[in-house]
Amino acid sequence: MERDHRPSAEKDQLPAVDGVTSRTVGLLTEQPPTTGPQSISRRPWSERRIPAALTALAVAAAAGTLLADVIRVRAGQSAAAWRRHLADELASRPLDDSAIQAGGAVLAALGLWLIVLALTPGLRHRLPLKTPDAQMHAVLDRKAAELRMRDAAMRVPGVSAARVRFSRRHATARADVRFRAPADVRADVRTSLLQELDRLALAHRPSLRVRVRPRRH
Amino acid sequence: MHRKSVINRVLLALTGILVLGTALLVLAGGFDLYRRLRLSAPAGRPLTTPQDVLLDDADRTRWTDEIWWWPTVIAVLAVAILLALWWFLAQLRRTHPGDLSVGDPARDGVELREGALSDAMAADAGHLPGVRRARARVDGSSRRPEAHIDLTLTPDAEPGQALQALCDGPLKRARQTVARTLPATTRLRATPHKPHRAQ
Repeated sequence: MERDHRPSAEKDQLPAVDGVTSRTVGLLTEQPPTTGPQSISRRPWSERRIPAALTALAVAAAAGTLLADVIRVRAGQSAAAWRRHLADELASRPLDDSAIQAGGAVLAALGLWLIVLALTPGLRHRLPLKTPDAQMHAVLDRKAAELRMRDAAMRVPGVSAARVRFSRRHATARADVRFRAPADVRADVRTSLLQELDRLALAHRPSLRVRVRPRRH
Repeated sequence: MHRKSVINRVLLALTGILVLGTALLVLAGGFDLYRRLRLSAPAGRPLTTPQDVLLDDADRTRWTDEIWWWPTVIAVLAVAILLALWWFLAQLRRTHPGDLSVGDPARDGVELREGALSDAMAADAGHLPGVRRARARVDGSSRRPEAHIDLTLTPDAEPGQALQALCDGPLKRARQTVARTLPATTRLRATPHKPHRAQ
């Protein structure tokens, strides 16, 4: 069940929602806020729902088609053309036939991919954060982190355009410099981005690389 | 890790091993690796020479005259279809804790619907400073409910502070209400915006 709340739409929907809030809050006793030790979020593991659903559907479709035809033949009708064709091909093509080799290569890649999906965490576009509470896990979308880092780089005087990319271990910033000496701008961008990385509170702090390009008109 | 994730990953790994193993057997025979690498294939291993075929007529019809063959084939296929459909449908289901007891000790006759709890948390978190939009969902079982909170931050908000505020405010109130630890998963996003150049 997904619930949604936009402060901008407060006027229309709030009576109902606020009623719930005040009833819930009314049951509480106030306590002073506590700041527990910082805990590190582990990286979240994907449930792999989409690959699982696709694999399940593929197995069900293949088995279903075969079962339907087996039952048709049991009921006295003749086998479908695709089944006779498939039996002929399987019985006539030797293993060094290029179609069989290509099929084998595709199947090997597919099998390897499924194993990789099963063993890796996934969710590479979410960066785990430090959280104030061990019972809470938090992630920051990679896009959001890149946006904030870009904004931080753009605040440095002399930068006319900036782009920041996060990978697993590195944050790479590229900035175009319109005025001032590129080396100075690079040092300022570096300081500004390091501060911003501190503010992001990432659980695994990436190393920072900064590249600047002079762009004068 | 959640149970569904474990089941999915084990089944995906088994499928992958089956597919990869078959493919490697076919490729080893097709490229004649046993002879080239001077390996002797273990006795009874199929598909060892490039002239072999995947399934010849003799193999395909070996048991077709036996009385148990077709019922077995049909049963195995039917079981495979049912298991695959069960696996597929499991991906579409979400767990729901249903009604939650309120207070510690639980008050008689007072129950909180999971939707009401999500509504209250979303409304509460939506008023935090630096939060543009908040969504919340509660899943898990009634004994172990879990909160999922999705916050869209304004460009000037700091993620660390937003998390602290969420933990000290809405999440703490929700935990006190249901008198449980209520594990929470929070996802922070930002709305895309154009870069502003320093003046």
